[in-house]
Amino acid sequence: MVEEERGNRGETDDGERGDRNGPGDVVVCLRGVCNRFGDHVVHENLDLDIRRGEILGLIGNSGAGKSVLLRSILGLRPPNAGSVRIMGLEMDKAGEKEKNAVRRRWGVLFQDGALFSSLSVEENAAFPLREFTRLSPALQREIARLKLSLAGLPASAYATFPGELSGGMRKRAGLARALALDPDILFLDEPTAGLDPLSAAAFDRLIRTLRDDLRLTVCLVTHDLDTLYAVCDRVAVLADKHICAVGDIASLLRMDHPWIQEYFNGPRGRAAFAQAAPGNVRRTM
Amino acid sequence: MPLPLSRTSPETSSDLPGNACKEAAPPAGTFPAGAREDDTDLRLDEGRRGNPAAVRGGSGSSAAPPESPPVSSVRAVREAAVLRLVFAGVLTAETLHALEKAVPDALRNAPAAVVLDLEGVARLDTTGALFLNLTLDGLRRAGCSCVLHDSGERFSRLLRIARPPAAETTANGQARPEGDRGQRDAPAGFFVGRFVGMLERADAELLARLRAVGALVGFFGAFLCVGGGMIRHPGRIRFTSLVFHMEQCGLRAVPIVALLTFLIGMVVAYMGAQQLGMFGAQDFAVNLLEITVLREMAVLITSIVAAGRTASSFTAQIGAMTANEETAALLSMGLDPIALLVVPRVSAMILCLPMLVFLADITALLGGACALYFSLDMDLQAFITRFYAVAKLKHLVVGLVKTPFFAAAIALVGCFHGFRATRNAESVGFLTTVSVVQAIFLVILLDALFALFFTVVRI
Repeated sequence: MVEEERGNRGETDDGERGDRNGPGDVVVCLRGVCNRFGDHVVHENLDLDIRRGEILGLIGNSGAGKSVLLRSILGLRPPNAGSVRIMGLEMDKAGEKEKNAVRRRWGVLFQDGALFSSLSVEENAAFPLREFTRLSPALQREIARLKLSLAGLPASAYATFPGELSGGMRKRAGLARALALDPDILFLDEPTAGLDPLSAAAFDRLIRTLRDDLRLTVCLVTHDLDTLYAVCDRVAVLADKHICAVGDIASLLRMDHPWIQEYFNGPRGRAAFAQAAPGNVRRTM
Repeated sequence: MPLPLSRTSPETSSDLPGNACKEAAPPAGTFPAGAREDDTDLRLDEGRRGNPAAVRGGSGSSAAPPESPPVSSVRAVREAAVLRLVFAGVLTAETLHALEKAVPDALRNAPAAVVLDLEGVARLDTTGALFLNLTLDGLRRAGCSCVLHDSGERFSRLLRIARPPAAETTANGQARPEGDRGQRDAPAGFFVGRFVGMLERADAELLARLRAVGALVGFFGAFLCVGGGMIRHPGRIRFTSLVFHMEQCGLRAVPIVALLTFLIGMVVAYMGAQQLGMFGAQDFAVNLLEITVLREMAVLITSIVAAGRTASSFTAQIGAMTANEETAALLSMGLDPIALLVVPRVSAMILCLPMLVFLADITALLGGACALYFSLDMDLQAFITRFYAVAKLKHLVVGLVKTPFFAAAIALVGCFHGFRATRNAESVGFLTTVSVVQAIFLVILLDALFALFFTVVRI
């Protein structure tokens, strides 16, 4: 099954919209999404597809509305117009029960982890299990520990409370919680922001491993160029109030959109590019 | 068409007491009978096992039937010396709770060799894989030789990553039971241990309380230092902040304080008039009203309202700032949070509470006059004449003298608890409650001390 999905991804990694894959392979589908705050238009007529099994990076200026877009996908801020389809379900028309079924199949890592501060790290990771399954507490704990160790947290951190953890550890704990129910889709908001380069690189590897081993679909908002080069199969560029380009980095580099050129050809972009030569980008997939 | 799969394994009942299979056993005869030769030693439920092909065929297709919720099941099949556990259906976090009971039951009298057969499993997630790994580990620890039958290695990847974090689980798993055992062993000294434990807790609690009192006193000292410095250098006083907090805790409290004290004044006057009326001394209700309101009631009611409104909001404001590391940011810039946050709040409170109490005196007396007008037909003119004859200035002064102390206590307690907040949503809420309770407690304690003092010095 994994091989099949890979094959699909390989074929269509050419920067065009992914309708070629057929609707079955698009897990998140945004059409004509508009978001407004009063007179301030954040998104206008925005289209985006996230395909099964891919890691999609979402980039854009600060204030371009990446987080708003993520919140629209998650239903935390229903868009003013347009449709959000997730795993075939029209989110704004669906009933609460169907939406809850979808909500259990995604995991979300918020920027600062959004851990429940009154629960220990282990309880945080076990929280979705406690709420949504009928497993025994002992097994819940084992699962929580497995997810925490997958996320790279040391055992000494399991009993601590989120307030005592560093930012990177909170992110890992938040990731463990997001993974608790084996989601199909993982949404990550700035997963490597504020991490030291080593932790960030480890986090990148972790995301890839999880995608490969657990067959996740990952959508991540990031500013980290290294992350973009290291893990993303495709990158969606949010500029001028809509997704102005989607594709792998090689195809984005060929575009002559001024913002994209500036973004990837700035000093930092070049450094990240030098580190992950384009051949590597393709091969590591 | 796949069979409706049972939640637990009825087959296991062959080597179990009956209770395990009660809930799961389907009505006899629902399924076509028929037995495989390799499990003839099982007495029950041949019917279910009669068509393993159907089970496998059904689950071999992509997933469980869409109209029914996914289920997991396990069947125990005994083949000579080997126990074969045939898993079927969807082994995920949602469905696994059924297996959690069934598998240990099936393995209770396990032979030396066990095969876990995953052929019929349609879907597996990390939870299911972890469960299988834990089962395998348990069996291996018990000296059982066991094999996982997963032809085509469909799940090998999942099973590899869903290993229980070995070193860590043992470390934690051993640490905990030992801690529990430490309490449970020593049955003879059980009650003694309990008693000692209680004393220990009481001791720790007492010390924590004393330390908190000490910290509060220290905080008061810090406030005095900084506040004193500001009196010497008035340029450092933050007037904007001061005026803002005076509005918040003074002006905005006027309606509630006025209303409450008006009502209290009415109650005191009315009660007094009724009781004194029994001796024909209803006019003395004015004396009663004057003393009660001016000396105690207006001050106490206003202070308690202020404790509820102001102490809590101070704690919440400063607590949220502390939780958000804003006070740390102030400190890192070389700014003193006490000068910036505490001094304006406490000074605003000290300035406002006397004014509020003075206002409360007036409204309470008005309330009393109102009650007397309705109950005794004493008109305002008569009330004022009578009040003027009996009132003494010292009662008003006694009431007002207390207010700055109450104000300082309320505001300091509120600010103090704010700084104790941690990065934890619960802590701010908890500390807010603590600060209100302590502020009210301190107000009443100080009031009692003042009453004692005024009695001794005969005022």
